[in-house]
Amino acid sequence: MELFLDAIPALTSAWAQILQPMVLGYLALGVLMGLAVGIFPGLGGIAGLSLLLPFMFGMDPVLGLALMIGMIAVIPTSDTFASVLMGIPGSSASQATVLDGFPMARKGQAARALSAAFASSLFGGLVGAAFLTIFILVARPIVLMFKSPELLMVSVFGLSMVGILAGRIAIKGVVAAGLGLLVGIIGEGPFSGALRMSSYDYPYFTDGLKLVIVGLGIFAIPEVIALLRKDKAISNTQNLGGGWILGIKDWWANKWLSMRCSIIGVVVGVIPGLGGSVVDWIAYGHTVQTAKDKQNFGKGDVRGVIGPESSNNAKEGGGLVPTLLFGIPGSGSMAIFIGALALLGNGIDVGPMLLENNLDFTYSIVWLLALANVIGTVLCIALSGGISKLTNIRFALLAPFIFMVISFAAFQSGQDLMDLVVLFGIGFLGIMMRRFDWSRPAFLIGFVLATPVENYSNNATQIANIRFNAGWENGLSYVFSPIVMILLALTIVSVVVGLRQAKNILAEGEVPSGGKRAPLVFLLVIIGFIGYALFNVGSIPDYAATDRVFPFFVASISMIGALILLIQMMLAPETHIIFADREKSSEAAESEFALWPTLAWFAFLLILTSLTGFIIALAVFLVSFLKIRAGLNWVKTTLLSGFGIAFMLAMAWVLNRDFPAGVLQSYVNLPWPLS
Amino acid sequence: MASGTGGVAYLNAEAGAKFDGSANNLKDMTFIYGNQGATGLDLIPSLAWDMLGMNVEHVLGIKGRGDGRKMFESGEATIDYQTSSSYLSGSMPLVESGQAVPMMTWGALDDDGNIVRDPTFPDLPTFKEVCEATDGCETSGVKWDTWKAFFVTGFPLQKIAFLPNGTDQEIIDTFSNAFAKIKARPDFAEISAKRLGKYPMHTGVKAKNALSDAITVEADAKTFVKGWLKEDFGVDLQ
Repeated sequence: MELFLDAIPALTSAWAQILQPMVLGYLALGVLMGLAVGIFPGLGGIAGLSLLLPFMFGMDPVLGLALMIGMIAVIPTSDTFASVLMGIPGSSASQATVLDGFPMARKGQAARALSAAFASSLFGGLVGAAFLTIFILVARPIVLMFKSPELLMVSVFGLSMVGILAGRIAIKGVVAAGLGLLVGIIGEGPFSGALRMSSYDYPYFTDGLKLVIVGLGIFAIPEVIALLRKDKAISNTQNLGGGWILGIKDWWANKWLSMRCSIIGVVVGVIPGLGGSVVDWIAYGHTVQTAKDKQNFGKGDVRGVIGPESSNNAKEGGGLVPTLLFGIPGSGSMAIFIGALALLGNGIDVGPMLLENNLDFTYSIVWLLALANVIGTVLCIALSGGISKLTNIRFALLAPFIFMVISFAAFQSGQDLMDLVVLFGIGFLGIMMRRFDWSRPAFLIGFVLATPVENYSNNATQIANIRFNAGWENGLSYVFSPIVMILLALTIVSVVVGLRQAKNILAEGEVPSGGKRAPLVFLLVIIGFIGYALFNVGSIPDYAATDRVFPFFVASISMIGALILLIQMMLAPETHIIFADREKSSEAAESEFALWPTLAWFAFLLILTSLTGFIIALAVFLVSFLKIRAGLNWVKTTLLSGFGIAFMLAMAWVLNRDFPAGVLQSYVNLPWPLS
Repeated sequence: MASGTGGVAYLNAEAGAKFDGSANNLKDMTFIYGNQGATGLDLIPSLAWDMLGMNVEHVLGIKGRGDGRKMFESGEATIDYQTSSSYLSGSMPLVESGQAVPMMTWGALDDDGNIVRDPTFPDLPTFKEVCEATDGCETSGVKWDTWKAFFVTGFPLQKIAFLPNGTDQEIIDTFSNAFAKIKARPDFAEISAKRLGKYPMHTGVKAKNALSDAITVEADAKTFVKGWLKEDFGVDLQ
């Protein structure tokens, strides 16, 4: 109790420090930047914070903090725009929102989805800040209780969310998750550096695939292609407005859900190393599991928006705990945040001393977080009227620009042509998975959790071995601590409930069946990949055995699952749901354009980039697409293409990026941006 | 510009009570250490503890020394080391609360290339001193030479600023002069001591010499280390 009483003077002093016009001004500036960064799919905290980094030198600590926190706090709010309106995850924390948010936009309920999302985001952010206030005082010993076995159980619990999202045939979901795990393992092993499914001949793969690219590829690209084929506007109806109050009422009706998901967000955010990208899936899984009427999930149930949106704002508050208390960044953007803190005027050092020496500073951070959420939400609501109108524009006009932004986001980190190749490859996988009703959320969860599960399982095993050698009880108390047991029970419950309900949650929507051949071919390709993976990791030599264990385990389970599916396919009749094929559905019949020609457009962009570099390729792509596919006249085509190119150049110039180079660039030295 | 840092190894309370300036009483204990990777900077503490005859179990694959410190604090690991700046900001509280007992520093180099006490931690013995006091540990011979070679690269000359090959001499000079100016500031020693510890910063010609010191490893040392890594960690260096 004294602990809290002692903290009150720090709280009030922090509050006083913040309520100054200068500080609030900087906060608003940060919020605006955060909004801009969040709205563009794929750009996240890292890009934004790197922009701010040069300005942090010697800046007054409170002002610098206001700027940075303003940006970080608001990104999970503004990323909702892309998720709801276009079905493209705005950031890695916003993937689950797409599942129900986008169908709502298609039904013409964009305004309702957005306002529910913003209310939830605001609430989640405030809960996160409030929780942080109290928790940070007692956080240290609690965080220390989470050692390798506990962290492993949390990751496994995250994996169990696959159960609920597995789709109509559970084994398909399991194999999809296995596939995601395998893709997540690609690259150098963490223990001995042994290569898995990569070789130094293609150095790009040795680092593994990036989440941004996989996330965009598996969710965004299939949606863009599907919409492009229909060639209508995103929204089925013209009705856009009027859902505002409804959305807020929806949130209020589900406030306890929002509260629970916010707590989930904060708690998962606190645990270092898990990564915020899992938190929205856990929140979504929880939402579905605790809902009485599960009919509409995946088709536009507003609760599917409220849950994840509450949690992803709350996790920002939670993520600050390990960052501030231990100096261990909870995510990539937190790592930059720590660096920026050191640059500020007084040079703030994170770590255990922070609470002792700078408690009021810590609380400034908390209050700033809360305020930023409020300002951010207000601004988002103001903006959404205009931005929502995008859903009424003919998609053929929007598509090339969306694709342009996605490509830009993809080569953010590497500026490598391979980024685009991988984007296209994963995009193609995503399209096929969507077509044959394989759960894409399961894939992504597997991908995200591959690294934590492998690392923690290995650490836990090593330490457990050492402890068991020291004594039976010693080992047992380490492995089966109270937290582990609780998490284990939660996981089992989650899997059981999930599998029973999975039939009702159509993560991919209704997909009819018909025709054995196409689904079978896809399954065979998947089996081929798993077989390759199995062979590849099996040939890792013994001295690097630790790098082999986990991949081999995952590949074996996936193979067994895939073979079971194969047998089921051979035995089942043609109309069984196992042969889901979206091409046979009414959606395909409505589509004006076929799949392959549409895909060919983007293959065109890719090939052209490899030849002439991105900007030239983009120019050619935009002009030809708008003229030929969208059928615009020359004036409009040049105008819009010009606008697109100018926009790309501006973004790259601000962020100081080069574009991927092609064959042309290796022969001729061209000035920026053609380099 | 070439600058350095030091490192401090520390034990948990139980082992700390048995530590008497040598590792003689620690040889019957099993230590758990969170290792970032056998071939990285953690090579230096690993080899040092090996030479002292301590039984250290390495848990490989830790993502950063910060994680390693957290493991120590939560009791999962029972021995740890940190570079000077992280020790000052992160591990000192543990020492003050009694949870951690500092064991030794890796030391620093004087102008003649001898290992002397780390100026940031003048009260802590160096590995050299602890080795001399411990039975079975020698401060001469192949093992010692190897350790010293990697120590020099890893710590006193850990931070070297490089510019790409072919940079204009004008730019190189600008950087050199800037570093020299920073070093000449009257409060440089004070500011850097708080953050990084009291380590000298070399610029200009001295920095160039430091570089060649840093990257030269004798053939004997190379052979020894390759064999040791293969035997103890199963790593094959090509």
